Amino acid sequence: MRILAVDDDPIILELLTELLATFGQHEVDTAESAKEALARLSDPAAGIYDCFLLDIQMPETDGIELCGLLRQTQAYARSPILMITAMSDKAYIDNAFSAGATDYVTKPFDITELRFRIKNAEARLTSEGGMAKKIFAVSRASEAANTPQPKVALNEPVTILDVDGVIDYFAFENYITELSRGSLFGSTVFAFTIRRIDELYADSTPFGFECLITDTSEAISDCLKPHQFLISYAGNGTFICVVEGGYRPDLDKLTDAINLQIHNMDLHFCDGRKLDFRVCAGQSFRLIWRAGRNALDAVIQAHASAEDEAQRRERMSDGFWLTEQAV
Amino acid sequence: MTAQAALIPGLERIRARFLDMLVDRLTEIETLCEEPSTDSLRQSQQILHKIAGSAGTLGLQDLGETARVCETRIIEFLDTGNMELSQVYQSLGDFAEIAEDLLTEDR
Repeated sequence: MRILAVDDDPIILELLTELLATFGQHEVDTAESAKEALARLSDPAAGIYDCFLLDIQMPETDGIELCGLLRQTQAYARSPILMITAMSDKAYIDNAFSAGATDYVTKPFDITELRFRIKNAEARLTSEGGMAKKIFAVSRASEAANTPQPKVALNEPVTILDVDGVIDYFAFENYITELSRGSLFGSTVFAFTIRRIDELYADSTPFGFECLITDTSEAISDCLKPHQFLISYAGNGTFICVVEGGYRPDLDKLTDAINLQIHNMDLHFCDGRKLDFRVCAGQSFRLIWRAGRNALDAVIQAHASAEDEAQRRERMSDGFWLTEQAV
Repeated sequence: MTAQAALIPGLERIRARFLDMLVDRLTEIETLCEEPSTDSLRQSQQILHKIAGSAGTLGLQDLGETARVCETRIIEFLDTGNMELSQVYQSLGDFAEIAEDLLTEDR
């Protein structure tokens, strides 16, 4: 991979250059500030980087801000961005993921851990053919409407950009599995699934499906404010949410609020038909005493319970009509 | 240096450079702390932050951990007020002692 490492400590940059060279065929460039990094990226002769390592605490523009700036560029909208942090404060990590970071490594580096993180980023880069596809973004809506594009698979966990608190699913998994048990204490995970998503998917154009997913994510994000939260789209019309600070959401009320928000958006299919849909919630799971793999299991359970609930509700509606006919 | 780190070529050279820089960093912290102010403590904290971030990987765990304690105490003193200046200086003293021992040993 071509990697750009940004840190204001020259020793860290030397360490990274040395360590990454032993991990594989990586070409590492370094910058001592966000300003220097941005100048390098704006130089066409510098070419394109595959991956970034950004220190969080830097003077002037910090790593979180730099991450956000990279995400606004088309070339780096999905590139792996690993934050290098000595910060144990979870708020920094949350902000980094909200800004678009995909993973983080803590200083001082554990060499095995750093190697694993880099391999992880590389594997994802390889599997996704350069991270250039599968992005839904509110800001690109008009551009996407006019450009023919392939439809993503229904079960694909596409990345949604430009919606507050919505992060990539790969980053979400890293976030959940890497946070310490103490940091996850008081967090709750739950999920929402769009009901009849398979029918909506079949009825939608690629652009229409993109709008459906981004608009739903916006509705969920709006309804979770002002709490501290992260949301990720996991595919199959399911959005996974983690909320923090001890907030225990009333999922029935929250679902109503989201459905009202969606209704008020007055959405339509590309051919002008009214787009009428609802989400439903599964069970919520508290992450107290769960960390790593156990925390990820809670995510899987939340995901499955929302999808089960969506199916159960559709069966109930069908059953209702059958009963009515029988009577 | 850890057994793992010892296998990385070039790490010894970086460690030597780190120790060279430690001389200047230590002098800078001592100068800054002669007349404590919010600004001088903030600058000291930034220097300690850098030391804490790399010392451990270079096998200097004690130095890194002591730098981290100093950094945390300065942050608490400046941002929350839940720390006495004397406690900050005590940890800075511990850090300076470890750093000086290390530099003497290295020479």
